Amino acid sequence: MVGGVTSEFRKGTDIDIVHIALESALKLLKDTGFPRNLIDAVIVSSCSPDQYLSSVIAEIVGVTPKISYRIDNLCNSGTNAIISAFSYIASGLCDSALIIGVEKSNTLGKIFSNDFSRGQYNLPIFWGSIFKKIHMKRYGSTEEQICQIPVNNYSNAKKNKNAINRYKSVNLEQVLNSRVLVEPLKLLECCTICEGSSSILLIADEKFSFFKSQITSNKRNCELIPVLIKGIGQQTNCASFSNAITDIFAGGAARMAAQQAYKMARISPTQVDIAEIHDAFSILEILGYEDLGFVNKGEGGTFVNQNKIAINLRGGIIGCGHPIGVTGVAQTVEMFEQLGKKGRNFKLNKSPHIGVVHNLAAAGTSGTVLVMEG
Amino acid sequence: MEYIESGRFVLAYCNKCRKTIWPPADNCRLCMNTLSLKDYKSKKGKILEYFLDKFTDNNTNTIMILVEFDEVILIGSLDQDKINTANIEGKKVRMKKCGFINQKIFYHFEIVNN
Repeated sequence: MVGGVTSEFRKGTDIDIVHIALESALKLLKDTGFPRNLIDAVIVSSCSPDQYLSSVIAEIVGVTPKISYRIDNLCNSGTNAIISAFSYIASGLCDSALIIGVEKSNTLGKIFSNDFSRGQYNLPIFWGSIFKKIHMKRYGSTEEQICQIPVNNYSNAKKNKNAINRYKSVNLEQVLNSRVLVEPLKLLECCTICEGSSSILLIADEKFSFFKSQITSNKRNCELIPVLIKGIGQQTNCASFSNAITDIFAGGAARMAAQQAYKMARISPTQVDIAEIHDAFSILEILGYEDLGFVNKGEGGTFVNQNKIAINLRGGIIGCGHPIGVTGVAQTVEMFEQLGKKGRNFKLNKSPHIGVVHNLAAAGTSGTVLVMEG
Repeated sequence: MEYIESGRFVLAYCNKCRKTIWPPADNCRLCMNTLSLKDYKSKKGKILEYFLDKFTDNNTNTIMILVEFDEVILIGSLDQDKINTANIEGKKVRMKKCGFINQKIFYHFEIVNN
């Protein structure tokens, strides 16, 4: 990975999806000075049904790619797009790829309507409450532990100029006393669906010197910063809630994805310095600690106030907002900035070297984990 | 789903695996055998967990339940007449009504005596 840019996350504008995509894509091309005629693939991640979206965007930014299409896999569309681009590059079919995650607030990805086991309760908030209650009952995690997640993530979001909640502060008491939506899940434990875009440039690592030499001398401020994708894990165990609910607490797709990614990267969870965890609801971050192997199953609540691993420094999904198809790309851009030393100063105890991105879809039925090295 | 639409509660059953299979389909996802339909109208399910839903209707608390029928887990609502929400976990339920409202499927259960 040699570049990444994320736009402002916000709600309710009348800007069309193509122009939202351009906010990050054009800035990325300008910042890196990457020659557009050398981009082999344009992959767009979005739950928007806009026809031929990747090719429309490619034409506007002046790219004529070999490969161009849109990926939709609900909330982990973004990391799926990155994996697809990685695969093209690893296979030798492409040397470079531009990945663009883009979404509008009214995206169809807000509701998964093809799962009939959810009955009339087809909004994510219902399974979010189920996960929380089961975790509390089965493992004894407490309201205080779980409600600390939004406190941490809102606090981090204040340092992120693109986060939708950058002007908001919440303390533990406010989270605990916020409106109960579906018992025991409260309003401030939930993310906000929003619009935005995020773009990434991937290249073959052996071609780094070549691409660097192609950046012309009049673009002196441009730079390519190399951050390696060392490991990839992707697992889809089912689609329906009926099959997911037993799977999540038995092992789950994200846990399997983490194991695959660590194996490919040849590292263990103890080597991770920094993590972007999918916290669409507070309980998901707790489950993320467990699935990523930072703690044993059921012990996620005890990890909330640890200081070994920097977690969700951009503010997580709760702090940043959740433009569905963008989230996985934005998480990866954040990891790129932190590992590539372009990140904001979060007073980390040490300079991060290994990071993981954890991205889920549809009640954790699908999970993606990327291991990155700076 | 056309059965659910007409208010009939049926689930797909594999005679070879001897299991109720979710999601409903023509073939078993485990062995690819052709599935048959099994009527669950009079069958009893078990409440695995219950939740007070204050989101669907701001002014009324409804009860959302997780129900298990032969390893198939469904989310539905509970008929709240004469219900004390304490200790309803593990109680037996039966499908009172199912169908579609505004193109959205729904399951509505009632507690039955053992």
